Formats: sequence, structure tokens, C-alpha cells
Amino acid sequence: MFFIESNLRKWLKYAFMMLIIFFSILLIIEVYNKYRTYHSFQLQQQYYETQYNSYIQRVDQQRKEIKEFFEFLIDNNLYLIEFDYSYSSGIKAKVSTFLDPTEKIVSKYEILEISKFKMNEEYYVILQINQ
Amino acid sequence: MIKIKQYAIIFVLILTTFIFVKNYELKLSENDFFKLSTSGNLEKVFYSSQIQEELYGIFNVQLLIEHLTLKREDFDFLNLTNTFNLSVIFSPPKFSYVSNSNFEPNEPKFHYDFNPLSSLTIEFNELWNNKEDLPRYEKPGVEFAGLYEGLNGGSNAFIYFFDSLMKLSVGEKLGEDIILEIFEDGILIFTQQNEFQALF
Repeated sequence: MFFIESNLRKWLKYAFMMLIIFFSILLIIEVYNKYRTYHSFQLQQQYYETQYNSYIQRVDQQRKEIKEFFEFLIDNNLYLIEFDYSYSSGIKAKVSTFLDPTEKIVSKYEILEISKFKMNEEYYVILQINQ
Repeated sequence: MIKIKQYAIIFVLILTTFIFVKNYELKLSENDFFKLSTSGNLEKVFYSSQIQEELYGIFNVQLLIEHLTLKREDFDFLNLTNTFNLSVIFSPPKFSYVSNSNFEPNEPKFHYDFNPLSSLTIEFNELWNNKEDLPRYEKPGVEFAGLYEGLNGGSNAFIYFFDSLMKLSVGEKLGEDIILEIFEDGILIFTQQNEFQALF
């Protein structure tokens, strides 16, 4: 009886050892898979976050440029005739105003005179402005 | 020596941990923290008083503007109307986001003395008073002959074109150029090159 019991115990012990090793390996693989999924999600989130931040920055920069142009119109008393903005090619506008004969508008924009004629003491001018 | 009971306990512990890990759901919440204040594309006619509100709204949308056009309706150089055609095309981002309806812009509205969107009208008479400073309309054989005022109030101008006499009225074309206004002593012409010229 003692031998049979001892033998059975031995086999049971081996069986448990095998199961322990087998499930330990499975556990390690499972933990690694979970970690990989979590890590790649984190990386993806970071990537989206960077994209989001750069998008918001581009939006802010764009609004700043457009507002700056409208402030330029206000500061120089320019009437807006046509305003055409596209993200790729920037601002193109047609404006008009009254200028003294010696007056010149200086700005960072490219200004071309389309038409000009005298109105009493001033000149009425139509300008093409490009960014 | 480890006893069989201890092996059994270790096995049960590992098995339980394995089952727990296997069934554990990672909390991978979608990127709902990307909130943007959004709006649809727009194409409409507005008065200049409304357009300031409209532009303020557009500027506070957190989407990239692909294309924005603002044009005066029925525009001619001397008459800037206060109606505008506004068209906006937004370019939404490629990442997923949720529309933020509670977005409150913290920027103040525009306040200024001069409004670039206001209307402006220059009378032809005013322009004609300075006709000496306008470029002369000089085409071979063309000369101003005189004015004829009709009974219904409309006036026609006559010009010499070489040996023949031609009758012209406002809005008609002289070649490719448009007759803007007829005066006692001449005609105001808007040329194809967008230039005001005087024939007198």
C-alpha cells in the first residue's frame, strides 16, 4: 500500500509540476500580450494627442493671420471688396480707400494698385493685396 | 521537500491568476477627450451688420478653414453694397473627436471705429468734376459730339465715329468698354482694363 501510494504521489507531483510550468508559461504570455495591447494603445493615444495639439495650433495660427488682416484693414481705413482665403495659398483681397496724394500704405502684404483716380483733394484707389 | 499539497496550492494559485489575467478587460477608453467646437460648411448672403457676428462665430470654431471667401454682391468699383456672399469650407481633422457644444470662446468681440464691410458710394458727378485728372478716352476716330435729352428724362450721347454719328446710352458698350454716365460735356467710360476714362 505504501509503495502504491508513494508512486501515485510521485506521479501526481510530476503532473502538478508540469501543469504549474505550463500555466506559468501561459500566464507570462498572457501578461505580455496584455501589456503589449496597453502599450500600443498608449502610443496611439500619444500620437493622436500630438496630432490634436498640432491641429489646434494650426487652427489658432490661421485665425491669428485672418484677424491680423482684418485689423490691418481697420487700421488703414480700407473697404473690403473681395476676400479670398485658402489654407494653401493664403490671403488674396481686393480693397478700396481714399488716399492723400503723398500717402502710401506700408505693410507686410504685397499691395498692387489696380485703379486710381482723383476725387477732389484725394485719390480713390482700388488695391489688390496678396499675402 | 515540497509536499504534494503545496504543489496543488501553487497550481491553483497560478491557474486562478491566469484566469483572472485572461478575463481582465483593459480600460482602453476611446479618445473622447479630443473635444472640438465644430460647425458645418456655410454658403449664404449676409448684410454687413450680420456678417460680423457670423465671422466671429466662424473664427471661434475649432476647425481648420480650408477656404473662406467674402465678396460684395453686385460689386462695381464706385458702389460698394453692404450685402456679402460668404462661403466657408472647413477641413476637419483626421483623428476622431467629439463635438463640443459647451465651448465658450474667451476672446472678446471686435470693436472698432472703422468698418471695412460698410457700404460706400461714389457719385459719377463727383468723379466727373475731376475729369481733367482722369485718363482721356482716346480711340482713333472717336470724338464726343453732344447730348440729347429725351422726353422721358433719359439722355443719349452722340459721338463721331470717323464720318458717322453714333447714338449711345448708359450701360451700352462702345467696343469692349462700358458707358457709365453721360454728361452735358462728355461721357464717363469704364474700360475693359478696369479703368475710368473720360471722353469729352
